[in-house]
Amino acid sequence: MNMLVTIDSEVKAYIKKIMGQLHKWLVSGKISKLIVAITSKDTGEVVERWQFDVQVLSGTVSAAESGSSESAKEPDHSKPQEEIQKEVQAIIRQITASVTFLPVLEGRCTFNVLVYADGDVQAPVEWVDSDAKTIKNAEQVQLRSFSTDKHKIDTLVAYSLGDA
Amino acid sequence: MSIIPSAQLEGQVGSSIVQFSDIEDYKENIQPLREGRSAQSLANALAVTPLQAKDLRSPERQEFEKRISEASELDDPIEPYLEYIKWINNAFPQGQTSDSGLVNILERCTSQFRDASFYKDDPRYLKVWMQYAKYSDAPKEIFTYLARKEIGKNLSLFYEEYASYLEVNNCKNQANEVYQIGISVNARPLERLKRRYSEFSERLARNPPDANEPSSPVLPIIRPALALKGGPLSADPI
Amino acid sequence: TSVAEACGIALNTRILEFQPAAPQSSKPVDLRSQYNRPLRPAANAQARRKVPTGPERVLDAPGLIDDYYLNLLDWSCGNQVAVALEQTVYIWSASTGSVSSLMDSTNGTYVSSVRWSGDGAYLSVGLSDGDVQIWDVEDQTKLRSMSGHSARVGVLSWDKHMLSSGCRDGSIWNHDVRVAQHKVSEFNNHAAEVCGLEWRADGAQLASGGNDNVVNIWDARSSTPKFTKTNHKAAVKALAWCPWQTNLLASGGGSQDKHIHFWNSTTGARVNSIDTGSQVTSLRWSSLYKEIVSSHGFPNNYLSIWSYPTLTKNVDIQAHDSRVLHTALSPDGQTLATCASDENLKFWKIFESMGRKVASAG
Repeated sequence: MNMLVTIDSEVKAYIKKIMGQLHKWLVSGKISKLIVAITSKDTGEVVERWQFDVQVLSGTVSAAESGSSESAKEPDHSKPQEEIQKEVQAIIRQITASVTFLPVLEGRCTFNVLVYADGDVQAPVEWVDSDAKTIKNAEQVQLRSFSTDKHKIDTLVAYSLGDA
Repeated sequence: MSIIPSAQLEGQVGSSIVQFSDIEDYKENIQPLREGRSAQSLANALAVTPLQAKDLRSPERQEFEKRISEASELDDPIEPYLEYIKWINNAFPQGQTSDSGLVNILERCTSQFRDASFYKDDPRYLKVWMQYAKYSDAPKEIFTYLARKEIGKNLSLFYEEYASYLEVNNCKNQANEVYQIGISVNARPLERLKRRYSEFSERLARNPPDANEPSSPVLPIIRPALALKGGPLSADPI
Repeated sequence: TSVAEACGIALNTRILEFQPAAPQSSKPVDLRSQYNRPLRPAANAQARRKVPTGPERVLDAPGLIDDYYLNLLDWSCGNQVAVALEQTVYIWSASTGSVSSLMDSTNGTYVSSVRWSGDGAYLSVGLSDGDVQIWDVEDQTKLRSMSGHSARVGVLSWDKHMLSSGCRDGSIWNHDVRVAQHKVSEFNNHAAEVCGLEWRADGAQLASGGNDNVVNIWDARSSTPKFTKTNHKAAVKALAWCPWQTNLLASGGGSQDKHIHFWNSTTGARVNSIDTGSQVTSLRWSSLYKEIVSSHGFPNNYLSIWSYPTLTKNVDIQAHDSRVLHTALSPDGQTLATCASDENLKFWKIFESMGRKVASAG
């Protein structure tokens, strides 16, 4: 998630707080989606919705959870760091190029972070139940996916067109 | 291979999912628009080769031309022009080219309705002017022309666009004045205009104008013919 | 559960939102992110070299394909201009003004690149179906077809008898045009279409740019790039080697980048940069002045002339009504040809010699 570049220290601290919890959930395989919803403060409408689908690749999590050696099957296709980096670069290129079709964000906007979590998940008090914050009649674009040894991430951006 | 991302199954109903790579391959041929572009329309426009495109588009264009020629019969005669412009924006992601004829249709639309009182405060008509101004060598002349014709006089968009143009061209004092005029005539939506003005003021505070920047007057002073300049009040016969 | 599943909502899933509101950004809204019109610093009024800003000549170029990734214009050392309009390659003699059509592509393919050989005798032609052809221009005959690329060939560059072709699939092939088995090597390091390709005058290095936003610098004998530069944030089509400093390369980025970077191709260091404010579509160094001219697309469509290494802008020329796609310099280095999506081919005497001699290398 290093692709969210910001120089604002308050925003940084805010994201850091979220990332701490996300990391725990990701390691334990408790979440299946991460959503960043950009909302217009003026209309309250969601204008852009970035969705990251997280697939836990088989074997790895149960091993981490149980710690038992027999299920701790080493992934036999340990993915080279270089290849992962290339995939991440490719998706960053797409995010950069998304300005060719995304509307310019007008007015004041804010963002919300959502996760789709297992029903039995332990959530800190800051995390409360929410709706999916979807966009009606959205344009949707599927980005490249990337994967590590443990996770595969699919990215989808949905947005609503501005008034022409 | 064929794993459908679950996103496809939920929520954002009704629209199909475009693969980014279909757009990315042509990213340098797409001129971004402020209101964004439909990914679906882009993917459709980019899927045809340049040779196919020429064959496809001329009958479509003829249809739009035909509708425009019959526009005077309509209750809302600007409508076919707007549809035409929308079609060009979708079919020619590059924007103005000799093929797209974008500037030509913008010009025809703006000039067609310049004396139509019923469109003076229609944001759709003003937006056409604003798109046209982007292709102009002298946008300032367009803004003053619109002011003189009172086109967009009650629309915030006019003041926002004009002020932004002045601001990026280092006429911040004049930009300030434009915002104030817009607020004083209660241009709508007023809240948005006020918000833009406060954003502008913030930038101004951080980056004050040079002493030698040009200043007013920024809008033509309207001098109604035979307005009373002095002497006894109006209705008194001489 | 089938309904829920069909809706993609697993019953045992909770959607959780991080409740604390995101902090308000303390930075004021940047106007440039909201308006296309960039800040346009006026060219310094203090007169530098006087450059004529009107064209010497304008030719009609009907059907020029408006595609950034293609390379459809080149000027030979024998003073002939080649331009590709859809399926046809035309040769315009700059000495006599005569026009001839050299070849037509067939079967729905179009010409995607042209490039003169160094001696001006041969024209290489890349096609949208991946074919690469060599034409003898004087005889108006096709000498050979070098097929094999699986997708369109948008850029070509010669080094003596070696022709390199850049393909939409990201590959670069090096062909020895003299031998039957023409393909002698393959350079693979672009993840998307190759649209910029330029051999250094001494043939020691090849620069390539692609839609993957990467600039690669290759040593002639190695099929792994010597340097891979990822500074550009958009496609790289514009590449130019400096005529007076052998290891100086200029590269220009597309719409989301707008920068010209200057590289030392010996050390790989970035030595200078310019933010031009527009998509960069081509770069040409002057051989007569210490200057470089850049051509532009969105949003300003200018030609800009920069002094080097001071990076001061000499002049902006509003050359065309729409974006300038290709440029080429005359063999005497004085005149620039430009082709734009307004379907005009224009000639500009921007580097008039005034009795100067060509700046020599070194």
